Amino acid sequence: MTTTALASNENIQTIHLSELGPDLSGRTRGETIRGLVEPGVTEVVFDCTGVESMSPSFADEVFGKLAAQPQRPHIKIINASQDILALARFAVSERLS
Amino acid sequence: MSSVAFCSPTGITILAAAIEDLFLRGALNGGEIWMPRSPLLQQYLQRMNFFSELRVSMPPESFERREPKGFYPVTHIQDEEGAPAATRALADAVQEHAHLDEQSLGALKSCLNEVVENVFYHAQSPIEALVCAQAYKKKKRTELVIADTGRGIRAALSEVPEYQERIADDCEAIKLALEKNVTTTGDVKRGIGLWVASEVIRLNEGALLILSHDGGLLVDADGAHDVDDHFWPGTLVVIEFRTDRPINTTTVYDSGDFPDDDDSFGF
Repeated sequence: MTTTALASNENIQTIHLSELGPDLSGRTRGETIRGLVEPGVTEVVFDCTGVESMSPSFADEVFGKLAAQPQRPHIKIINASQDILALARFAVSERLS
Repeated sequence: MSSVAFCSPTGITILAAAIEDLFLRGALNGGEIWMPRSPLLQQYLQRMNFFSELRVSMPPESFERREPKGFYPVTHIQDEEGAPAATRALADAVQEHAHLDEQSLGALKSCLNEVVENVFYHAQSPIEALVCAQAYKKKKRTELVIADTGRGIRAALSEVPEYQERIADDCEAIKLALEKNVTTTGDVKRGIGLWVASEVIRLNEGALLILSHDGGLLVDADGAHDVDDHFWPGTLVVIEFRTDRPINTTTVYDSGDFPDDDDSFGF
């Protein structure tokens, strides 16, 4: 799994989710992805290029639990379908409600 | 099986899971299967891997094996790690006849993955998970089957003291499991997967059948109905999607209360 520091001075980290495959599911895999977020980054960008489906449990582990952290970075999602964006928003809203 | 004239994917999966479970528990030690009289049904069972999954000795197949189109044969999923590849292959196979749009196909895989993962998180199933599927072109339906022979939903939920009063029987336990945020983990924000799947199926006007030990529940366009007079030694989930209607997760996900005014989210 590779992550990319786009600009070290801005502390932005990009994670390419499709490296896990086009269909993302499972809490274990979600936890692995969340664990890749480096401490101290100000923004984490999840690139969903090539991602075709995502399960609610995976989204909760990645977006929901990351959003619930007290010192969370700015979370950005790019190149995602409307469904995946809606799921990410749902996962966050469930954790923060 | 000599008098069997028809066998659905659900029937094939049930038979394969039950026989394998009996072997694994030592209740069965060999035996023979009397073939259905219909050569077409024999061939169908062979194509659905019924005999090979049970390691039944068979004469050489008299038909040509091709990539499965419109159906996905009975297949073991051994663990959580193997679930995405198997559900993807299943979805690709049924898509040959279902012709779902991209969004619907993604939603189908998402629902299926949630149900399959539940087997590994909760069921303690000796046969792991067995899956099977068939798309019916003319009926415009797909049938997805996920079976385990584990401890059942009621036993899993009984680990949580707060649920004790609400799970007087297996049927009540199934109903509880379909509610949002019902979980055995102690994390009250979890327990959304099966709820999402059931909502998506409801919006699609499909059907969801869950059998777990002595309990059974059918959820379809007319509501939820108890299914009585059966026993399944584990949990069986049958999802039927209509393929002439969208399979839409967005409506379900939009029910959340996202903090739009929080600028720490860029989506």
